[in-house]
Amino acid sequence: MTMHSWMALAPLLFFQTAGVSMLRPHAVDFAVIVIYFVMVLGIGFYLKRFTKSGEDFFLAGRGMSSWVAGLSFMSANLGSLELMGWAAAAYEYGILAAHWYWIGAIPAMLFLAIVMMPFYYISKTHSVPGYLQLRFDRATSGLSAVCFAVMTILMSGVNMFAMAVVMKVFLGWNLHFSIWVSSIVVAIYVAAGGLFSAIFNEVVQFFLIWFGALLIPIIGLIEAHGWSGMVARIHANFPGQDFTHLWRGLGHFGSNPMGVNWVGIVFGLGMVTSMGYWTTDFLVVQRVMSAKDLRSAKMAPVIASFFKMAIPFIVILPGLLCLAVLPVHLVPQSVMQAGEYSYNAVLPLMLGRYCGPGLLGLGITALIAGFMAGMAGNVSAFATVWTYDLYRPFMRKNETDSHYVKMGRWSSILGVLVSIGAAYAAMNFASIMDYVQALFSFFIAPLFGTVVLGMLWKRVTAKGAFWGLLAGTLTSVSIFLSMKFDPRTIGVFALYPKAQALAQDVYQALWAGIVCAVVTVAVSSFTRPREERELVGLVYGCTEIPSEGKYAVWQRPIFWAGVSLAAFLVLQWIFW
Amino acid sequence: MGEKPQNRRALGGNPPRQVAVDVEDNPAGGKMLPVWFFVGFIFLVYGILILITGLTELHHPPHTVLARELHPTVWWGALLTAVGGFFIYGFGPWRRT
Repeated sequence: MTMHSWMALAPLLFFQTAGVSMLRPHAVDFAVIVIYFVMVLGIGFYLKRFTKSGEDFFLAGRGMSSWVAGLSFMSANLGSLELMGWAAAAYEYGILAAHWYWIGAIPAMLFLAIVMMPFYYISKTHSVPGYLQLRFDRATSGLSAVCFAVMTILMSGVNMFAMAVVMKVFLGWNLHFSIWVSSIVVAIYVAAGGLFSAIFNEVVQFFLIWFGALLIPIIGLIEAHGWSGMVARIHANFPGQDFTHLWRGLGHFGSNPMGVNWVGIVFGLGMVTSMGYWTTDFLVVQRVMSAKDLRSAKMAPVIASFFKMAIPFIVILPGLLCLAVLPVHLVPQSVMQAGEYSYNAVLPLMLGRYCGPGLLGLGITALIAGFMAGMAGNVSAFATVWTYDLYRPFMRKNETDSHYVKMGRWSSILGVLVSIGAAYAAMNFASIMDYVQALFSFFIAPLFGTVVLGMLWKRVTAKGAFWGLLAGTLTSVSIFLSMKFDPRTIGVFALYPKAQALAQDVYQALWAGIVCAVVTVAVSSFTRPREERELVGLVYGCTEIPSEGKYAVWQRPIFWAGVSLAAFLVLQWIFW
Repeated sequence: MGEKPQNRRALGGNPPRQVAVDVEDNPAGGKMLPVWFFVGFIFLVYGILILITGLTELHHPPHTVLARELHPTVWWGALLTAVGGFFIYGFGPWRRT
């Protein structure tokens, strides 16, 4: 779940929860779901015996191939709310929602692979806060670690509650049952096998998500008589509205349903928000750090970028197909009447439309797999940051490796318990979710400024990094609160008074990133930098990046990054 | 300068063990099955289950759109079975030498 998509998905949590479930699973569907749970637990127990050292538990032995690391990287991002929320966004905004998969992901993933990964990998750190400690000091690292640990575990709880609500609405399941069963399963397999287990399950989940969701666009396109038939039907159903062009409506704020222009999408989304998420959110970066060598670590995000480009096929296309083939119009959650469906029902409606017994179970399993992959990602990242970036440097410095592994296992279980607490808090105080999701986004955009400046410019000092990070975070918080409590300021910060939530997010991130960069540079200019020899392995210009000359051209990450970038540009041109 | 390498070790800077988890040995626990085997296993189980479901309802398909014309349960079950079989054949314990 990308943090920017979270902001858009808050309404998902307020489904109408009438007693009737939307989908009617059969015995075979339940069998499919039960087999899934047995399988993930089995993988966890199987991998426990391979998880002995801290390197095994926290970084999966640093032995993953580029494909495994890449698919796991992708899967940790593919939460169930990601699937449902963006299908809903596609119904509401049309293909504009695909920007969050393309310009809002691909350049950042390639930047991580080619520019940033060498430093993460060569410094041999366990985590992003760990890198900040090496590059700057304990204060910056501690600030980053505390924010990440708290936010990731709260996000996990919110995600858990959201999933339970989805299961209740669609399947009629009891909220407590969903929360406890899914949490206990995740706690067992992560505590048993650590990152090994999380990554193995994420790869399995990745395939399940694809094969569970892929039938909808395939049968949908057959029903709509292909892409052109679908577009024709959308025009017939919604005359005068443009749902099928990516860039054509972004010349002006008022000419698209999102209330954003190309500056916000290119700079706010493409250069700050997505860069922040994909390059500094440890939840996803941890997967790449587990790669067996630098070339694999660079290839993993490149491989993932191809799949990320394809995900709109199973997420955005169902939303567009819903616009084309459904006989009824969906409505915003806020104005929904009895007998109507909100935008958030896109994916369940399409599942029910095309998937009979067995296939329905597979589709529901895809949603559960998405949820569990996201939660396991949060828990394993939390365990690493807690153990290596907070517990070890600030509490118990000189313990044995086995002590830290034990702490990792216990902190995984503790993380799940805190997540459950957060889920119950969210159940009782729905507005908490808004703030938790917002808090996460406060930190990521400025963190990117701090990390990337620190990596690329040796003049950045520890004080500059700390104050830049703090100033950027406070800017983000201030703008969020300002726009929330005084909507008149939306016009000031998002540059358009009718900017929707997604448009507000990208401008909030843009301002936070700018403030972080300006303060970092300004403070660094007046403080003393570290000696160049201390920055070897940490900063561009002071580090020798291993040559890839020994590989054939087609084996080099830069070659495939170029192919990915070209494919990305072709997609922009096709759907312009 | 003298402190830096120490700090890095403290942060977990051990050299990578190069164990290539998806295909190779793991010194800690012997041979580890590749992740692709697990993918194949669950796909094969799902494929057989869904294929059987599709075949049993061949003459009275569910009331979903295009089910009567396309029989998606049958061919999706067959596809999952084939993919699962391929992964199991290619990555099962018998393939490791």
